[in-house]
Amino acid sequence: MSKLVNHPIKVTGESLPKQFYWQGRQYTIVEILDQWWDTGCWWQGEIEKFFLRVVTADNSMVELYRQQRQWHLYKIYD
Amino acid sequence: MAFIHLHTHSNFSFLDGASTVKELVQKAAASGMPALALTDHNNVSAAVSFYREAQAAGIKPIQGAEITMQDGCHLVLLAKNPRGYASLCQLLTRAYLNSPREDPRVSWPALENCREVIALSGCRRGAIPRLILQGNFQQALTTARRLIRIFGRENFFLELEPPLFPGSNRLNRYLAQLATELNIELVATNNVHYHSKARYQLQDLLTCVRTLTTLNTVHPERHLNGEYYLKSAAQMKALFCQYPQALANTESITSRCQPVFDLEKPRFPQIPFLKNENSAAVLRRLTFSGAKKRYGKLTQDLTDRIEHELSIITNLGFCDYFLLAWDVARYARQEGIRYAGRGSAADSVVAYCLGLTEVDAYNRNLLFERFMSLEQAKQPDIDLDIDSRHRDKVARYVYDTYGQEHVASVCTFSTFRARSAVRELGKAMELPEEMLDTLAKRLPHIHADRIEQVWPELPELRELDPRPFKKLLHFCHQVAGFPRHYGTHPGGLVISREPLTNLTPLQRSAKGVVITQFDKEGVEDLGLVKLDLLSLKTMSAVEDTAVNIKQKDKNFDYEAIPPDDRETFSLLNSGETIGVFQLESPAQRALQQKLQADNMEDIVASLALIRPGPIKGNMVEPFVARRLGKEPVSYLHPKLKPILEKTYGVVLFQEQVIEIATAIAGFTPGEADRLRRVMSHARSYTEMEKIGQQFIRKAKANGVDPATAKTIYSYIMGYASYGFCEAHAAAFATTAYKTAYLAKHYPAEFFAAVLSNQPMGYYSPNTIAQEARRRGIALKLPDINKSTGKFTVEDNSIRVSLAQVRQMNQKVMENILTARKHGPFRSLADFCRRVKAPRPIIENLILCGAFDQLHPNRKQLLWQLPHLLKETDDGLFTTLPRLQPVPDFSEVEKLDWERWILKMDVRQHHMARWRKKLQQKNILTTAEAKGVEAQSTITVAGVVITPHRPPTRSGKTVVFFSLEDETGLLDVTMFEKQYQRFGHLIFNQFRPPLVVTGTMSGNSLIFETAKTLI
Repeated sequence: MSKLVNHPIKVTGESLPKQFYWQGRQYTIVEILDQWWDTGCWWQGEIEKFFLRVVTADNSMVELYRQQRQWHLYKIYD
Repeated sequence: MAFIHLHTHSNFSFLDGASTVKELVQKAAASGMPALALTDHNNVSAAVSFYREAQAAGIKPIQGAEITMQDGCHLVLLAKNPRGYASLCQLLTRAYLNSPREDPRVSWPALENCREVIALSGCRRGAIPRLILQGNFQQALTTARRLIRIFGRENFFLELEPPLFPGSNRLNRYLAQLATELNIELVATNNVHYHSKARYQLQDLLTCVRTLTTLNTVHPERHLNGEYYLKSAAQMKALFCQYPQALANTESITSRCQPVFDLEKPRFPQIPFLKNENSAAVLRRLTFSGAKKRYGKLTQDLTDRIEHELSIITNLGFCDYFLLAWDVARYARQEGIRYAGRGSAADSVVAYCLGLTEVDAYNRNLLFERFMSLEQAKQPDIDLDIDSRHRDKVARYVYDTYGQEHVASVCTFSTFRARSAVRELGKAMELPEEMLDTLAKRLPHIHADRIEQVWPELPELRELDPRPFKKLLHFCHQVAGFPRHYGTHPGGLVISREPLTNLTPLQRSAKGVVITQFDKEGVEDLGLVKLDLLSLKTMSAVEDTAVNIKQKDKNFDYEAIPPDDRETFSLLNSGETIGVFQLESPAQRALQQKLQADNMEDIVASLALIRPGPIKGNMVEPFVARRLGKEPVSYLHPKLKPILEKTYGVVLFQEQVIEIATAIAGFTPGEADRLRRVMSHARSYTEMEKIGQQFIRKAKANGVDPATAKTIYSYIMGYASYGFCEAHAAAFATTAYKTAYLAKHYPAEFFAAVLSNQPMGYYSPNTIAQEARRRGIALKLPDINKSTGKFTVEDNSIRVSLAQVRQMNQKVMENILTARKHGPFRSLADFCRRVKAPRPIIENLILCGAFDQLHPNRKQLLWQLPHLLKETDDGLFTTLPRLQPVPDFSEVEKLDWERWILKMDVRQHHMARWRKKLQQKNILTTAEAKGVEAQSTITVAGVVITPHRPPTRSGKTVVFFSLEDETGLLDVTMFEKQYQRFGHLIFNQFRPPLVVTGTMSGNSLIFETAKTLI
C-alpha cells in the first residue's frame, strides 16, 4: 500500500537528490531503486515528470518526482 | 566503441512507428552510427527504401522484423544474409497465410525452420521479459533455453532496455542473471519508434488509433514516455554504463549481418511452353509470324524496325517478359475475352505483332525508345486492359501456368490523406464527430499536410472556425503520407522464377488476394517482373454492346468498325459524347466542338491535349487554331518539321521530346529518355537547368545556333508536367473512336451496356440515363417479368435491370430469374410463393414499379405483402388476403420512391417537376440556354454535377461544373471571385438544385451569381 502525497519539497544534491525535507524532517536517500520519465497528459499541456523510487536511511520507500526544476514527494510506501 | 540501434520501427510498423525510414536513417547517419537495423512489426515492406536510403547515407542496412508469436509475444529477428532474409520472408508468409488477416502469428514449430538469423529477446512484450516481469523466472529460463536450441547460443541475445521505465533496473538485472546462467550474451537496444523525441505525441496518438481508444483512455500499449527515440551513441552509453558488453555486442552483431539484397538483378519467370527452345528464337518466330498476319508483305524498312526492336529486347534480356505477355494475351484471345494493350508498350512494333496492342507503331512512326532503350535500365511495363468480368479468370491462368508460389498480386500502401487523417486522428483526440465530419466532407482530395495551406483558399473551409482544429492539423501535417494499411494494386501481378517467398513475404489482402509486401516500385527494384492486367469496365461495356447488337444484327463485328465513319466524327464534333470512352468530360466535349476532328490523329491529339499541362500552358487554343488553319504553323529549325508536323508545330507527346533531343542535340536514346523523364515528372528546377545546359551545349556541337537551341529548350521546358505518351493516347484513341461509333449507330444497345457496367467513366448512371432519354431512348421501370440482371434493350427503349434495385443481391436475383423460367409471375402472391426474398427487397421492387404490370396500386401491394409473407412462412396459401381499398401514392411520391430505389430518374428528370414555375420566372432550361446569343445574360436552373477545380497557370481557382436538367447538361465556368462567394453551394455534400445567373460564352455559361432552388 502507499500514500499519495504529491507535495513540493526541498532537496539537496546535484543532478539527483541526496536528501529531501518533509514536514520539518530530513531524509537521506541511500538507494535509488528505479527511475523513469512520465509524459502524463501531454494533450492537456501537462509537463513531463522525472520519477525516482528511493529507499531512505530510515528504510522507507518513497517516490519523488521532478517537474521542471521543482521536486515533489509523490508517494510514501507502507 | 560505436553503438548501433538493432531494434527500430519505422512508420511501416503501421500505427506504431512515427518516423519515416528516411528520417531514421538520416538521424542514425548524422549521429555517426555505422549501421542501423530496421525491425518493423511482422513486415519488411520498407526494406527496399531502407536499403536505398542507407546506401545513400553511407551506413550499413541490417534487415529484420519484430515478429509476433502465437501467444502475442514479440521476438526480434535480424537477417544475417540473403538466406536469412529468405528464411524471414518464409516465416512471415506462413504466419500471414495461417492466421486471421491482420493478426499474423508465428508458431514455435515454424520458428524451428528459421536459418541464418540472429534473434533478440524483444521489448517488454517479448516472452522472456514478460515472464520475468510476471515473476516467472523459471519459465523465462525454459523459454530462453528453447530459443537457444532453435537459433544457437551465438545467435540469441537477451535484449536490455534503458533504465527509463518503471521496473527497468530490476528487469535488466534479471536478464543479466539469466544470461550468466545460460552463458549467452546481452545486447542494449532502445526499441526505437521515432527518430526524435518530438514525435512521441504522434506515436501516442497513432497508438490510440490502432487500439481504437482515445487520448483520455488508459491502454497498456501506450508508452509511458517519449524515450523510444533514436538516441545518440553517447546517450546509449550513458544509459547502459553498467553493461558495456551489451553495448559492444551491437557492433559484433552488426559485423555478422550483411545486406540482403542484390537489387535490380532481373528475375524473369520460367516460361513453361519454351521447353528446350531459346526464348529469343521463339520471340523472333512469334513476332515475324504475327508481322505477316498484321502487315501481309514485310518491307525491308519494316523488317529493319522489327530487327532493331528484337535486338534491344534480346540485349536487355526481356525476351521472357514479352513471351509471358504474349502467352497471357493468347489465352485471353483463345477464351474470347476482350482486351487491349495500353501505355508505352504501344510504341513497339513487336508488341503489335504479338497481339499485345492494337496500335500500329510502324505506320504511326512511334518511337520504340520511349518504351525501351539500351540505356534505360528500368523494366518496361506491358499493361493489358481486360474486360473487367474476366480479369480474374486471366489472372487465374497466370497463377495456374506459372505456379502459385511464383505469382502474387502487387500490394499498394494506402496512406494518410487529408480526410482520413482528420477523421482518424480527430476521433482519437476526442473532437466531436459532427465537427470532424463537416471538415472531412469539405476537404478536397489532398495530402494531409496541405490542409492548412488550402484552408484560406477554399470558401467552404473558410466558413469553419479553424481554432478547434489547430492541434489536429499539426498532427495531420506530421502523418501525411504515412502508410495506413495494405491494399491490392488494381492489376499488377508479379511472376518470378524462384519462389516469391525468397524475396518477399506474402499475405492476404482484404479481398482475399495473395499480395506481396512490396508495392510497384518495390517489386521493380527487387528485379521482379510485373505484368499489369487491368480491369476495364469499358471493355465489358463494349462486349455487352456487341452482344446487344448481335441480337438484331448477327453480322456485327466490333473489330471491323470503319476507322473513318463520317457520322461518328459528326457526333464527336457536336460535343454530345457522354458515355464515350475518354471523350465525355466537359473539357473534352468543348474541345471536340472546336477541333472538328475528321481523323483518328485528331482524337489522339485530343487525349493528350485535355491534361493539366496543356491547359495550364494555354496550349489548347493555339493547337486548335493551327489545326483549323487559322494560325500559321512554323518551325524553329528545319529538323523539327518531320517531328512536329503531325501536331502542327506543338510539342505534345513524350516521344517528340525524345526525337527533338536526338535530332537537335544529338542525345543518345538513353540521354533523351532521361530528359523526357525529367520533363514529364516536373522534377526540380535545378535538374531541368542542368539537363538544359547539356542540351544547349550538345546542340551547338551539332551545328544548331545556341539561341535557337535555347528557344527550343524553353519550349520543351514549357512542356514539363504534361508529358503524354503518344502510344498510350493512340491505344486509347482507338477505343474512344469505336465507342463513339457505337454511341452514334447503336445508342440503345450502347447506353444499356454502359448502364449495366456502372460505375464507369466520368458521369453517374443518372446522367447516362438522362443522355439516353435526351436521344429519344425511353427508359422503362424494372418489370418483374421482363427485367434481367442487366439493362436490356426493348425496341428502342432500355429496361432497367433488377440489379439496379436498392438492396438487391445476386442470390435473390438468381432466385427470381430461375423461378421465371417456369413461367411469368401472375401476381405478387404468385411471386411470394415462388421466390424466397427478404421483405425489404420485395418492398423496393413494389415501390419502384416492378409489379405495376401485375397490379397498378403500389400501396395496396405493400399492404398485402406482410400477409403474403406470413402465409409463405406458415406454408399456407389457402386464402388470399383481400386488398385494402387504399389510394395509391401520388405521382410525385412514386417518382421520389423510384429515384431513391433505382438511384436514377427513370421516367423523367426530377428537375422537370419545377419546370412550370421556372418558366413563369423566365428561368431557362439548359437546352434553351445553349440556344441564346453569345454574351447574353441568362438565368438557368439545374442540379450541380461533377464539380472540379483543376490547376491553373495563374494559380487562381477556376471551377468547372455542369448543370443538369431534363433537357441535358450545361457546362458552367466559375472564376475565383465568384468561387469565393458561392463555392460553398457547389462543394457541398447535399448539392441542392441551383438557379444560376451568368453570361453565355459559346456553349457554356460564365457564372455570375446563384441561389438554391429549394
